[in-house]
Amino acid sequence: MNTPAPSARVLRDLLGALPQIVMLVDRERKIRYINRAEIGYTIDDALGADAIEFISPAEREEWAELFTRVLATGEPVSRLTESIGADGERAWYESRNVGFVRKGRVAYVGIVATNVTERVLAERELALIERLLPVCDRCKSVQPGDGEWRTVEAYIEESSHRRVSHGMCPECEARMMRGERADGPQGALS
Amino acid sequence: MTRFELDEATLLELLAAVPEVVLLIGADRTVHFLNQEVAGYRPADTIGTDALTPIPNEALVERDEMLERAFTTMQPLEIRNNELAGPDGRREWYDSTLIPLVRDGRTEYMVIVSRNVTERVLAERERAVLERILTMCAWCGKVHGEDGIWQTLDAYVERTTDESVTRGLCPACESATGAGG
Repeated sequence: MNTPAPSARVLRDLLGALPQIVMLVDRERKIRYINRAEIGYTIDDALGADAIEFISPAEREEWAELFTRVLATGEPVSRLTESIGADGERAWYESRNVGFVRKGRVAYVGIVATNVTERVLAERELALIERLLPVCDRCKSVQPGDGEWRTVEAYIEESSHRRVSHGMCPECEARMMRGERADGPQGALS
Repeated sequence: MTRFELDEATLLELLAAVPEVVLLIGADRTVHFLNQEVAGYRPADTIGTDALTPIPNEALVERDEMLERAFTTMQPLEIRNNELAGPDGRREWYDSTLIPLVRDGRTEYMVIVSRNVTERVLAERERAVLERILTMCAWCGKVHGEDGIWQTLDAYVERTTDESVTRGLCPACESATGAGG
C-alpha cells in the first residue's frame, strides 16, 4: 500500500502539537512562523517581531553574533538561551538553530527550542546547596556567605522551608539519664 | 504583517531540525512520517510500515494497548524507557510522548515525540548490577547483603531466594576426608 505524504495542513498540525517551540526567522531576524506561544506571549506577539526581543538583555549581544554566524555558514548551532516572559519571568530554552538555504544562501534560520526552565532552576538550587558552609568549630554557628554568623537553627529556618523543632537524640538522652552532661554545642550548656 | 504561509518543503525542513524523534502514525497504525533515523530504521524504509515494527515481542501487547488507548481517549500519554529493537538487533531506549491530532471528533493521526535515553538506561542497569554485588568476609566467608546483616552464605541464600540449602560433600572434599573411600 502506498502511504501518501502528509499534506501541508497535517504537517502544520503536527508542528503545532510538538512540545518544543519551533520557529522560522528571516534574515532580518523577524519571526515569520511559530508553532505556538509560551511564557505569556501570544502567537501574534511573536509573528513579525524581532526574535531578539524574547532573549534576556544580558544575552542579546551573544545571541546576535550566533545568529549572524548561522546566516553566514548555515552550520547548526545549539545553546542554552535565557528568555524573558511577557511578565518579566525568566525561562530557559535548549535551542537549536539551523540555516535553511534558498537560492544558494541562508534565507531563514529554523529555531527549535525546548523549555528546560525546571531543570535549570533545579541545577541552580543544587549548586547553591553544594556550596560550602563555614561552621564555627567552637559554637557551631554558621556563616552562609553574607558575613553574618547565626545558629544552625536560624540558618535552616531562613534558607529552607523546614522549621526547627527541638528534642533530644537517644544518645544524649541516655547520657542524661546516667547523670552525664548532655553533649550539646560546646559552651551552650556549660 | 501578512500571514506567512509555509510551503511543504519548509515545513519538512523545520521538522528535520527537531533534535527529538518525531513520528506520525495514521489511523491505519502505519508510519506516515518520520523526521530522522531511529534505532537503525531510516525514514524512507519506514513510511507505510506497521508503526509497532520496532517494538520487541515481549512489549508488543502492552505497546499496542497504549497506542490504542491514546487513539480512543484522544489524550496524550507518556512512555518511559520505551524499548526499540533495531533491524540489526540493536536495542535502544526512548522517553516517548504520544500526542493525538484530533480532527472532527476523532484521532486523525498520532504524533510520537521520543528522546533517546539509552545512555541513562544502561547506566541505571549497571548501577543496579553494582548494587547487587555482595560483600564477602575474606576470613570467614560470611556475606553482607542489602539488609546489613552478616550471615553465612547458606543462611543468606535461604533468606533471600526461593532456594533451600541441602548439605553434601563436593568430590574434592570427599576424597580429602576419605568419607567416600
